[in-house]
Amino acid sequence: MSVLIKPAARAAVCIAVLATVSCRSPEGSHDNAAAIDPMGHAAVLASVCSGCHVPGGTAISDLSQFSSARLEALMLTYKNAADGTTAMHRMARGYSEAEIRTISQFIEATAP
Amino acid sequence: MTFGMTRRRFLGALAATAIAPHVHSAVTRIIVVGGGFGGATAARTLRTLLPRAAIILVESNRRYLACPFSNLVIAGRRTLEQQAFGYGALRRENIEVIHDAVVDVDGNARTLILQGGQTLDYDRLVLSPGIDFRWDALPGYTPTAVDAMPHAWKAGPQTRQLASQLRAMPDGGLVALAVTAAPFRCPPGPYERASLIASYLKQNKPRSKLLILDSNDKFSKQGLFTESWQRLYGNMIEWRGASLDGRVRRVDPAAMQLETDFDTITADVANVVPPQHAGEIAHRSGVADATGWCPIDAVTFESRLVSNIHVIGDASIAAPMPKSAFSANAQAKVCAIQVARLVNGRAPVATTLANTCYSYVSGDEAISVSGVYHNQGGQFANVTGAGGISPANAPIELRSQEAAQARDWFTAITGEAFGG
Repeated sequence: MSVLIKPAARAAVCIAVLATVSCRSPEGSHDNAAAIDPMGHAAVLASVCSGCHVPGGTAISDLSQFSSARLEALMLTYKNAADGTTAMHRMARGYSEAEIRTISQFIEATAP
Repeated sequence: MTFGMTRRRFLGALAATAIAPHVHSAVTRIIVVGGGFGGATAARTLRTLLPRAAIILVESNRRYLACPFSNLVIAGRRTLEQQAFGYGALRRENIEVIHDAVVDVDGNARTLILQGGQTLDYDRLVLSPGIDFRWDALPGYTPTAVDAMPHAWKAGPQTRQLASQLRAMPDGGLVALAVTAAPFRCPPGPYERASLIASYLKQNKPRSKLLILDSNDKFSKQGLFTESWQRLYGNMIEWRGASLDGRVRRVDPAAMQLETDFDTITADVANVVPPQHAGEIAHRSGVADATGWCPIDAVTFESRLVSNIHVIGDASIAAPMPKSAFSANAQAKVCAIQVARLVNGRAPVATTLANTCYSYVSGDEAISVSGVYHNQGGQFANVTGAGGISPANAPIELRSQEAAQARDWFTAITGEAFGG
């Protein structure tokens, strides 16, 4: 399959994100720079969250209020509560501890 | 709607892609077709990720009428206006929004032709065409039958039509709800609709009955729906599965009759959830296969039949992900990131995806089903040990809490797709 690479456009995107992350940073690393690569593994993994969680949410919590450590602890609680029945329990069980950490760091790093 | 123009060019496209003498403009051009939950979300995400690219959204309607929550409109709990969303936010973000229909796509030349005559070229095309109805699949159910027997499976005038028929129906009347065989848009949708029609009837026409004639033998959240129907509506709702002669074989809109193998039911209101396939443009583009749906690579959502075309939302074959607004929105974000990576010469990255569908069982109570999915051999698969449904026989407070969550979800997803 042919992949279009527009040198000019690629350079522009790299410049746009250079302040925070190298375009060659390895996938899945947990340092802060990689956590805010907008096309990185963390971004794609965390992208599902904003389908429900928005600033001002009440019945579904506003994630921007939480630190990454708090988010990680909450998600692990959901994941490990054997008798939990909420939608978050059911979904958290599908993510590994590493994925939960990656998502938590990304959400904190990109919070408004 | 005509399918006479359908052209399947994917063989030619596959053969010619590597050597296609495509003339590129200086700016990367990504076109998104379809401005629903998938397409609008994809366009906005691409806009953020590719600030220098031209992002173009082609959608024939000037405003989008959302299907989620439209069953509440039928029950009189919401207005259709509350379901309407425009494209002003997208325009303000420098997405070029073209209100026109796509009449053809040439995957080889990477061009698409609009009804207005314009030809647009693209580097990558994201199709989010939703569903269209298979008018040849249920005898008697023709495009003109929908006035007498509304489907209301795309929100809009049909939603109003079904609501007004329920209001005109005599107390003691029979509502028939015919459900096509899976797969179809919104797996729990027919049963949420049954719940909300029953809630309207209970309040306004309590001697009436609702008969579900189902071409399936089981359905999404079946135990929870059945339990809720008993508790809230007594014996008002009767469900006949396929094995109980529930499969509708033919309809007669003039006589308001639905025929199964052994029975003919005359209804006062007949709501038909008809046979479906991917939106028409998917067939014209050559990205739909013999099933009527679009096979995709589960990492990039790129078509398995035509390169440089990605298909998201209801039209795609993403099972076990359901054909839901939540799935379309989640797939749109993942697809947009993968497209942006490809444009930037980066390899796609596999991910984990999730879905939650809320269904109202009354105007004030809801239940939900969730799933988590990963990539397995180019397809999606359920993550073992995750997902599931709301607990059975739960207190009403929990059902009310899920209804509140459903409202927050609707605010979030419509905000992400269409902006504030």
